[in-house]
Amino acid sequence: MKKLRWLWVLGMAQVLMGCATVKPYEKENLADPIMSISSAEALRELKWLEAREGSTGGAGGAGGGCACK
Amino acid sequence: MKKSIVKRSIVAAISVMAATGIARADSIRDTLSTHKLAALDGTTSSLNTYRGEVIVLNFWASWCAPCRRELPLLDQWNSAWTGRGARVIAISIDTDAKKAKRFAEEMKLTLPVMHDGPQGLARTLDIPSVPYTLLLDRDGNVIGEVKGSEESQLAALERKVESMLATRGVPQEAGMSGGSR
Repeated sequence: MKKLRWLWVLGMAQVLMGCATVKPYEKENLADPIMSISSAEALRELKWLEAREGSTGGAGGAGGGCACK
Repeated sequence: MKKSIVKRSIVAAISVMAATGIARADSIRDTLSTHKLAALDGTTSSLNTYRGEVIVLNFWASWCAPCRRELPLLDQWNSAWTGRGARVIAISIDTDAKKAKRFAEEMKLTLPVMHDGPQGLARTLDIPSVPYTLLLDRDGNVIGEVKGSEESQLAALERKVESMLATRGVPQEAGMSGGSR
């Protein structure tokens, strides 16, 4: 039981070591759009959709994916 | 006897705190006035150049959406105050000066834009937010601050500057932080 408790403490220490405070003026990289999970996720979903439907260009582009405009 | 010791301790503690506060305020004033700032055209200057004028000092970054929203307003203030004894100086904390320059050109900003990077004054002052706006009196003392881009606080800052320009003094007004620095 005691060993388990120590393991838990060590595990938490490992997790917490990954935390860091970022000052407001140091957030340039974090503010980059590439850091946004949602946009990356949207791109991935679009890729899956295109692969599944066998079409491309239907989302946001001018074309409809059927080679017609 | 005991009461007197307690009283003296409290007075001593308050005196030390006050002395520390004054020393810190002096040090911030000196830091602000002597720090070399690079304009977007490459020339350098310090805030000492503007001694005798009321200065609104705005820390901003091109990657910060609230900064991009409030800068046109600050630019309008600067235009309105030019020649009246007050000015707005925008200090970019972008790592790359080119980004600040591109943004200033896109927005057609006419206010003085300096580039200082994230490791300059922003780090020295350990600014608590971006954007962060300081109000300096004619002697370079920090007399007000706005953390973020809260409209009501910016309006209070504008009123304070207008009132300083009208009275050539430092008015006491509620609605804006009194400058904890």
